[in-house]
Amino acid sequence: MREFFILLKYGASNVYSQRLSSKKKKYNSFKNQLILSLLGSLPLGIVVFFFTKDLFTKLYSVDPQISKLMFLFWITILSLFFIVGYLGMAMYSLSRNEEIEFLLTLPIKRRTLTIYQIFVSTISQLFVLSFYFFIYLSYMIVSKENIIFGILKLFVHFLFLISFSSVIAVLLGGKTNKGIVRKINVLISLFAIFFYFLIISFQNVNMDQVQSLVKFFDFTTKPYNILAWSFISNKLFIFALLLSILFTLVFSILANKLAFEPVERKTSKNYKIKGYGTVMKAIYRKDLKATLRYEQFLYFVLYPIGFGIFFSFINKDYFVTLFTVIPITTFYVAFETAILTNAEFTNLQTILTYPVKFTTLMIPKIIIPTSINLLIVLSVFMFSAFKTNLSYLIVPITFLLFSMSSIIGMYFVAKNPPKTENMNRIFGIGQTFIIEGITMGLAFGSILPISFLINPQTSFKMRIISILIMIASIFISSVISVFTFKKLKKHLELSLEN
Amino acid sequence: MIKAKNLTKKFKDVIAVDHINIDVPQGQIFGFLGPNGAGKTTTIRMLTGTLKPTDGEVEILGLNLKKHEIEIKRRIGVVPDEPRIYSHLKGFEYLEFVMDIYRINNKETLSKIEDLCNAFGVNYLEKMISDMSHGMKQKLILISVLMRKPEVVFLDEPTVGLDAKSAKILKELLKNYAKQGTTIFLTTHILEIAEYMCDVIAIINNGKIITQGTMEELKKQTGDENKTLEDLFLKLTAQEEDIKHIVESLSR
Repeated sequence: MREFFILLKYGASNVYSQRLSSKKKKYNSFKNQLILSLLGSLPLGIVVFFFTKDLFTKLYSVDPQISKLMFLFWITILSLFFIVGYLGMAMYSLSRNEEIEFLLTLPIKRRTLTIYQIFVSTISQLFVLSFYFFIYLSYMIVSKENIIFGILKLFVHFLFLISFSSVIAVLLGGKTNKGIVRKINVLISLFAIFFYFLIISFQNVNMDQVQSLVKFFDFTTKPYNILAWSFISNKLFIFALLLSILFTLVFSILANKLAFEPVERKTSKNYKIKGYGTVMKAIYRKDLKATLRYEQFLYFVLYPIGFGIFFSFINKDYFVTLFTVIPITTFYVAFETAILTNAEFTNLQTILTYPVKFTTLMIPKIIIPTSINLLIVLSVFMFSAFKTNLSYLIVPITFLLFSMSSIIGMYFVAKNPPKTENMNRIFGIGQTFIIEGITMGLAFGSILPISFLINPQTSFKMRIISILIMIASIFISSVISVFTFKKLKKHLELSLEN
Repeated sequence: MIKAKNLTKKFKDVIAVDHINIDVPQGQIFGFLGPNGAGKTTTIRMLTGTLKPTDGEVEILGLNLKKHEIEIKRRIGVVPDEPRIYSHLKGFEYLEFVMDIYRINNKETLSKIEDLCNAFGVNYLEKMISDMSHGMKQKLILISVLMRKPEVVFLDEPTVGLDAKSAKILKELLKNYAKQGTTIFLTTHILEIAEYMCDVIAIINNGKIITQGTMEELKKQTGDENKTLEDLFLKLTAQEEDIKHIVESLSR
């Protein structure tokens, strides 16, 4: 146990704290990160609790069985998220990676290493776990279930999912790499967020609609739904308990024999080296590859679009799509630029030897994220413009906002370059808040007034106020862009002096 | 080919390189030795235009570095002390990138790449750089530099991470390049390499060049012709007594 806690204290801190250059990094950062993650998932969990409690109460008053169906449906979906996310992470953790390579040289039992990796993989699914807990809590209260038996059921359910997934992960260990794991986690986070909104949207569903959904949810009560065994019936609960014990035993035997096989990334030998002879093309191609190969990029693109479409679906208002997509995308542009910029700063000693001005290398880092995201916004704009009346003024304003965000992102990296290429924590918490405040604040300030201006029912006074807010936001965005760009140039020059 | 006059670098209050003068003619292999933190890498960085000197002038290929930085960079090759390259690219994509950056696209370069890959046992160009080991990346950087056959090559600890065969090939290749007129500026901690390869050796300590000359000249300076470069190095950098003392104390 002592070894396990030492691993958590020193090892897991590296999993969570990626800004290795930070002087503020402390060895207890795992504990801090755990608390932060808990605090982060707690508010959403509480909201989910109240919404599901309200929903279960309504359904329970109609028919307790419908309430149970709804509960089992949530549990099944969440279990699926958990297994997919957990498996990806565990399969990577149980294969040979940089951390394992080092840990294997230490006098620590393989079993302890495996349990430690399993623990870290479980904690990585904290977001989904908190949903579980709060949905179950609300259902337990509504269905007046025995608390001790209820907690036991939840415990067995987790044990079953973890032991089952762990055995699979050990057997398939070495089949995933960091990239795949991150992609899976991005998708799970996205699903979890949409799941959250799905729960909220269920508040507006009337009882007739729920009745018609009973047929659809019915599969969740069947014995083949192993993802909810502990909750379907007492017989299946015992079966889940026995299988959990069996899986745990199998896992503990396998754990001590685990070879931590290296991950084999499949690569094609079919390539032909060819130069294109143009410097700018080379830089753009390289940066475009970096953008598309970065796993988080998927999240940066899908999240704003999905979020916007979901909101427009709920509100039946196509303005909302655009006005949701633009501020979120503006915020993410800073991250995308920061990722590309950081690749240059991490490899500065090699890059500065190239016969290219450093500023030439940096320009695509602003242009690529700005252009890709502008294309996304334009697509959403075209889609929304078909459905409703929109102002083309949105396009140049968005361009200005994206450019500003990109410059800010690059400035923060140039000011304090991280010494690792791992981009999970490219900005500190303070920097993230500053970027969020500036980008989203100015995006709302510049875009939202347009909705008032194109609405014929808006009063004259409101129009004047809207115009003033919009002009002020555009002006501030321009000033920030120019001011930050000047400071950025200074920092880029400074990087040649140190 | 490589000239530095009063080259100085200060980092706040620390003088990393203190008014050093270097003159390396064409075709010479110049060994730049010194203990850790002596100022070797800082000097290379200033000579290759990746770090601005606090004072002094640098001339490479007869051109002033301040005025002709990009042109000089196009004509020289640099192998940094750490093989840090874009991890998101595949090996062959990195070579393509370098070809484009240096505006070279000819059959000769492509066949040179193939020859160098065969020589260094590089059969992993399809791999992502992030999946490569230190030695694999070091070979990739070496190939990216040598494929261009630059007029001046700066190498900072080039054999670190290389297997014995690749290290030997590199040493012989550099000697041949020098014979053909390429100027080579090399730093290494492996003194046997310096002794074997370098025409002229300079030793830097605490930012100052404490001695410079051919192997024979250095031996004469110390007054003992039977001494190895290691003996000379330790004597000149005043580490000989330190080592005796440390070993005795640790052996207790």
